[in-house]
Amino acid sequence: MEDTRLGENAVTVARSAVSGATVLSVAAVLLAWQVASLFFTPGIFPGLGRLAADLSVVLAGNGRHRLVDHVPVTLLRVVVGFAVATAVGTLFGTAMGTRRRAERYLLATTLVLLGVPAIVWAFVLVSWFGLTSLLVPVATITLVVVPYVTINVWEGIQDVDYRLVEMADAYEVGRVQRLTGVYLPQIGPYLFSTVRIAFAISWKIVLIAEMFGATHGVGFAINYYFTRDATGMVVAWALPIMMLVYALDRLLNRVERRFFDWRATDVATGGVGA
Amino acid sequence: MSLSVTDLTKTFEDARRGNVTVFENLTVTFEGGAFSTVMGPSGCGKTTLLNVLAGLVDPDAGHVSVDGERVEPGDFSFAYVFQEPRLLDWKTVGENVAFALRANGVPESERDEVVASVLDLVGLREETDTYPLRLSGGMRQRVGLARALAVEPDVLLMDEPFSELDELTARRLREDLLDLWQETGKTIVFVTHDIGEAVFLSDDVYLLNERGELFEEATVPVGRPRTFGDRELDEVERRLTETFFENVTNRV
Repeated sequence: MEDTRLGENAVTVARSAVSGATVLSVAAVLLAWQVASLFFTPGIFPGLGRLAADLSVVLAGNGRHRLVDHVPVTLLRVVVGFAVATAVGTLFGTAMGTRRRAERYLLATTLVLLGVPAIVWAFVLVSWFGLTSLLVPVATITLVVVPYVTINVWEGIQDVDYRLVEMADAYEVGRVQRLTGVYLPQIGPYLFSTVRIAFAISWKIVLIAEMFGATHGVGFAINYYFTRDATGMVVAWALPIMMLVYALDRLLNRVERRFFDWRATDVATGGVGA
Repeated sequence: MSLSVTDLTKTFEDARRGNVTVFENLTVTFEGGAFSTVMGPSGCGKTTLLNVLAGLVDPDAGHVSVDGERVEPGDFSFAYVFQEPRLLDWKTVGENVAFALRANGVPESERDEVVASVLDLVGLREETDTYPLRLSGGMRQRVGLARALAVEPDVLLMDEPFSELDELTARRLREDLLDLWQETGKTIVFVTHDIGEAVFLSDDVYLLNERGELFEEATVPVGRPRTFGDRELDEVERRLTETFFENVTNRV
């Protein structure tokens, strides 16, 4: 009897190699930043020292605007917009993946909407609804992210292996068992990557919407510093948000890995940056 | 239990080639408890025949009978072993077997025991908690076989289950399959395009030509246990190969 086990060594090698590479690439970016800053005035392109000072002002809450006043409302907008977009997109994507008619009616429209720039939605929505606390930022996120989620879920459903469905037919597998045992595990990886990227996109969109369509929020604060030529503060405000998004992404990656333990050969490629 | 199709006709719509008739009035009976093999060139409809029996494909005409009584296709006790293992890669070996048991209505409290016993039969008890992607192709195919045995079918439908394995592994699995068949006394309908495999395994061999017509029913009058390379078996294989090429006007 054969007794080959695959994949275990490859995984450990890939993981240790990645962390060294991460350190190196971050260091390279910082170095490039510092060198580039030498060619500009500090107000326009601050060096690392000036940036660190601005960052400490932001973190300590000593500036004109404070994180505590703006981050919670931004976070709320992101979570609501992201949740609505994921739910609606999954619904549309599932409909398109399982019903020919839905696919015929929705596909072209979805692909066109996928190409609408976030800034156009933000401007249009502000023109229609003016300054609102939730409506405009949330609607902007939803309109940008829904087509993306829809397409991903649709593709995930199309990739379901019909041979496993046939196996389920042959063993007369019931509806619930079929959904949880055959369909969801195959669509799962698509859902996870969709959720991760949808979340990252939502953060970028909300800042754009807040620049024009809100009186509070991280985007509003960044715009305030931008109009006063305080580039250091713009970057210093973005950094905590970037770290937060990064941490959330790593967390989702953890969860995802636990879910897809069985992909012995895929684990090595799933953990970039771990 | 014996299994037969009567006057089976099946035509597929094919976008490029128009309508393709796979069978026209095909009638064939597989004896109860026997190891029967359907052998024919690629594309002759062997898999379609199994799929009709299993109720996965609706025939245009004809019916299925069990012990002479007409039944709905797939409405008898059977299990299907596919060409590929068709395992759920996200479930462990044991969970894959239990999956079929749950579908078959076996209560959860009894599943572990059945899983252990069928994995014992195929020699994979130790891999109960292993994920399929960590197993070799031969071991995965054994899991597929264990899953089929778990539901205690009267009939095993097997669609070229060893064709994707290397010859040594396939040979060992064939021997193990014969042992299992003799222990359990099931009716087996096995599909292959390999004459040597058909002769080694079977009591009865049914030869189809490329138009899906049955042109020869042969018995293999060689006692068991059989050994690979046995002279009598080779003789039967030689004779069937001759008959085969006389009847199959190859348009490859």
